[in-house]
Amino acid sequence: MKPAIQEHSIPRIWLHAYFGLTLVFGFLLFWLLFGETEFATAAKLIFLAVFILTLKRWTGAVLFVFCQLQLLFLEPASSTAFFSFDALMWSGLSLGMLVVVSRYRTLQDRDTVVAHRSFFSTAREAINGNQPDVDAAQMSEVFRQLTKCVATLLLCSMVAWGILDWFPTGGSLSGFSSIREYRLTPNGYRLLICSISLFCGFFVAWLLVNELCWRKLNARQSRIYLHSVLLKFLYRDFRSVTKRRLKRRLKRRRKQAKSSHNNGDIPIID
Amino acid sequence: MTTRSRWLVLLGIAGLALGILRNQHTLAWMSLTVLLWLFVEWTSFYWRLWRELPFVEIERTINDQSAPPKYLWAGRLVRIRVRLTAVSGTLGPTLLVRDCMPENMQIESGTGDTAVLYRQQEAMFEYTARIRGAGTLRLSGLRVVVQDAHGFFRADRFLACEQTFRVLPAFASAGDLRSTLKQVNAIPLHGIHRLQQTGLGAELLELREYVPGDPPKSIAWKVSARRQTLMTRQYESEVPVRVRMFVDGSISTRVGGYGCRLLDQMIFVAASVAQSAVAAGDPVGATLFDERNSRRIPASGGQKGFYRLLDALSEFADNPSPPRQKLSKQLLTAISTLCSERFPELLDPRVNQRPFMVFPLSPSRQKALQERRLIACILAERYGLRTDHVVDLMHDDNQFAQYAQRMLAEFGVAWMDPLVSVRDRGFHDGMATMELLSKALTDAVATARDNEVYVVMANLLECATNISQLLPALKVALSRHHRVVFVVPTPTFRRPAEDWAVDDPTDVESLLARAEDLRTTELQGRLKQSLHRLGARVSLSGESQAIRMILAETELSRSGRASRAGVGS
Repeated sequence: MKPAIQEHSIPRIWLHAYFGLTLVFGFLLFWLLFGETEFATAAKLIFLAVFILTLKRWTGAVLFVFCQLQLLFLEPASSTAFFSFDALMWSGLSLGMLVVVSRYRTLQDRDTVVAHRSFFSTAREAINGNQPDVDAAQMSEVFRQLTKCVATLLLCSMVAWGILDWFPTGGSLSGFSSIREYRLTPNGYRLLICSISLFCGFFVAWLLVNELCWRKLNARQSRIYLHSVLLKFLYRDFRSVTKRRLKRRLKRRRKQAKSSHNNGDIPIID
Repeated sequence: MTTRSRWLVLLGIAGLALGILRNQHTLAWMSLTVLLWLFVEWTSFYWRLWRELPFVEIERTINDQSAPPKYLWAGRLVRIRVRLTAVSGTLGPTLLVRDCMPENMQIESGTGDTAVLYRQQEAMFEYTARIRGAGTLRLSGLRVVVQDAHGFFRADRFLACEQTFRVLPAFASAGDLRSTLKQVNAIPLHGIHRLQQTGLGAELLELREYVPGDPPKSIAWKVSARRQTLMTRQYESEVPVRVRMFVDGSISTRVGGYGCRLLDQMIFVAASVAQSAVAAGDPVGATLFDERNSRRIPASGGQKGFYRLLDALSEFADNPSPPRQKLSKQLLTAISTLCSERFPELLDPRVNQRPFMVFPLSPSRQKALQERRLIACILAERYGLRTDHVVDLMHDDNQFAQYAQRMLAEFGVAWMDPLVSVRDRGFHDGMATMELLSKALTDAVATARDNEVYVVMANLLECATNISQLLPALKVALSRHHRVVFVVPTPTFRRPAEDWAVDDPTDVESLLARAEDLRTTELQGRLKQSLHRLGARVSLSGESQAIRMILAETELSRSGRASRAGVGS
């Protein structure tokens, strides 16, 4: 039941900046995906098709799957946490692509004009120097927002690194053996500890957010909530009463219609 | 949370699990980064929702005036500027704001919305709109969609910023309208004079004997010398002609979009006639009647009286509670669209929780019932109903339709499908109107002065074949030497063409329009025949032609002429 927020024109420079960045990241990923493997060509073609569909309709999640598959199949399993140049490059490319595609799709969903159709005309105008002040102001905002996003991602990646580094990498540590103690492989044990810890942290945050949400409810929402909760408990009883009442009303009307028909009156049909 | 973020969470968890299990640290690291990033966006989004959005100040200015005007005019353009200022924090990103447009307004330029794409302290947008019809214009507030920059989270809100205006009806200016009465060589019949009473006019009315107290300069010396007695000159002045309008506000005249209703036509004619009459110094009054009651506006002249009449017409133009309709799919869609626009926070499933239902078994029917339940809860909250009434609304179609109609009418939805079905009410509605009109006419005659002009604006076409109920009141009015003019607005809003050979329609719509015109012409002919026999005039349009005819009748009444010799058509 979402109402239609009208699609309207947004500053073209935003849409085209993110469209351009999407193309750049898409090209880089296409070039690097699956390297020299035997299924590289097929994978690249599928990636290209999915990429075009993403520009049209889909989200960046589908492209993210390709990056994960690349790492799943081609990243060597290592027992020490060591982040090579390749790892940094792939992470940077995947996250960067996710950021620009998500932003591009958010902007495109709100715009009436398809980005690729007006991209070249906008580029031409920028080169010719039409509306330089407006474009410069908007470009600086685009750059500022991108910088903020990159900073957030860097912070998140550092925290992620810290979390993964903090949890034991498996193997015996001070004589501890997960297989002996819990019948779990070291990796399985590590996964379990990691997921429980992260879940606990998320759960605390979720409780806090929910509590604040409830406290922010206005009077109308509170009344609706009361109605709905009461309805949850007593719906069956209320429903049976209502159905019976409606049945009785219908029966009464049918009787009235029948009696007026027998008297020759014009029946009242409701 | 949007679908996009749900998929990313799923992929992140899967990637993290596989990365840890297979000792692929990059995969695990990348997936955990995505999960943490979503977590940060989530907390940041809620922070904006709680700390920034409730403290946004909205300022809406109309026509660049700092204080909102009390009155607006139908048919004119208004320039609206909306400014949002963040008191706490900033606005965006991404914030999509749209001003909820009532049905009585139509955007001419601009879009009525804006998108805030990056953090800023204030945002502004403006647009120009045309007001369609007289009545009340209510600008309720702004529909807002709050999203994070990447579309992972979304919240719909409605920010109330209610402004109500009284919209006065449009009218044709006095200069554009001229009476159809021929002025040149108009020789009144012998013995018929203009309505006269003594006053300080420029023309001599009569000579009479001097009485103490008469001003010395009014003494006619030459005549006094001839007659050997003092005689005083008496000058004439015109007596203003009272115009009384009868405006029909029955159901059939209110059906249709704002500005396109029969009532809007009649109000335009009434306002134009009033403006012309007031410009000529004639007092104007009105009787506004519908199925509920009848309201009499006493005749008064001058600008004050004119604006009082316009105010009354504007109030009369507001639609009352609509007639009851059966619940239809379209009505359900209309009410659900209204609820999602004006009450999005009440449709939140965490607040408006769904009960467990076994029946109906079909998933589509259960989904439809759940949607109806959401709306039923909102209706119950708005009208103070109990919880058991919510279940009644869910299962009782008549009750649901009643409340849905009531809500749609309160939010200014026009009387069109699905709110009011435009079925052929025809003859029976016309009979009810005639009864009301007869009573109003009789009451007016009972309290009338001499030689008034009665302008009856009513939808009488449907009962043109049988207006016997109206004839007694009409005869009484005409017997008291009042002039009666009927203005019957055309449903098709144009005069039927007399020459059918000019264009030869081939498409279905033109053929239907032609058939409607033929029917209207026939009904018009019958109505004219019935009323002309008695001496009343009929105009079949709500346009300037009708106004000119009324002005002609007013001038005839003023001059005392019995016939309209030389009247233009």
